[in-house]
Amino acid sequence: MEALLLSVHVVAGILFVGPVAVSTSLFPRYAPVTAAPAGPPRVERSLDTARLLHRITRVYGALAIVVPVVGLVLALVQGRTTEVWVVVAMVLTAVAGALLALQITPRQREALDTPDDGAQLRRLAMVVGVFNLLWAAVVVLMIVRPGSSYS
Amino acid sequence: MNALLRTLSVLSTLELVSVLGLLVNLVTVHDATLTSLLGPTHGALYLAVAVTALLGRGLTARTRMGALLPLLSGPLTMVNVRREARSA
Repeated sequence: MEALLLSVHVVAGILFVGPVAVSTSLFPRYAPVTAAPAGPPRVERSLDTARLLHRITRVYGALAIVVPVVGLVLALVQGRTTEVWVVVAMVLTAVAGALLALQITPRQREALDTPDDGAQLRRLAMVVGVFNLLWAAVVVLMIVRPGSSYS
Repeated sequence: MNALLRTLSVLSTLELVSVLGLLVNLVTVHDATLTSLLGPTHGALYLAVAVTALLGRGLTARTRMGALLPLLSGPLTMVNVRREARSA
């Protein structure tokens, strides 16, 4: 039971959080802007690509809810819900998930619907940076497990 | 009522149910297994309500602060969500 839950937890983390990390990071580069910056663009901006990245963010982001749910069940089964690293990881995961669902996805939608000179894309890129830092910190917590007696 | 307020409404109701379940268990049978199941579930729901209210866009400061108070965040948020839905 524990081995199955742990496998689902890790595989879902790789398959669902990974694509979201890539799609959210790439979105600001491809989303349309009204004013082109000076000099040749590094990449061609493309509305279709931006739409696809938004779709990946939404769909895989929704699927990624499996990761914390299975993780919580696993912690219950193993009786680890009171360990500090589990609690800290849950808080960080909740903040990361809320950022994704309540800030990143709606900001992407707005950038697609009403493009501006790039200011909203820069704000979006900053939120994405915080999101990626948060889940990276959670992964480190899962490996180091500070404050637990077992290895 | 938009999707954000609907989500908050459902989550805060579940949070209230989970905390009531914990309290009822405490004053009646006080079953340890039930506590160890309901406790983390309530914690997760409290966390979900708190971060949703904190990071959701276009909510009042009153709703955000109310969702942070332990024990009271469930019922307070249920009331605040209705208030937001009326004023919207």
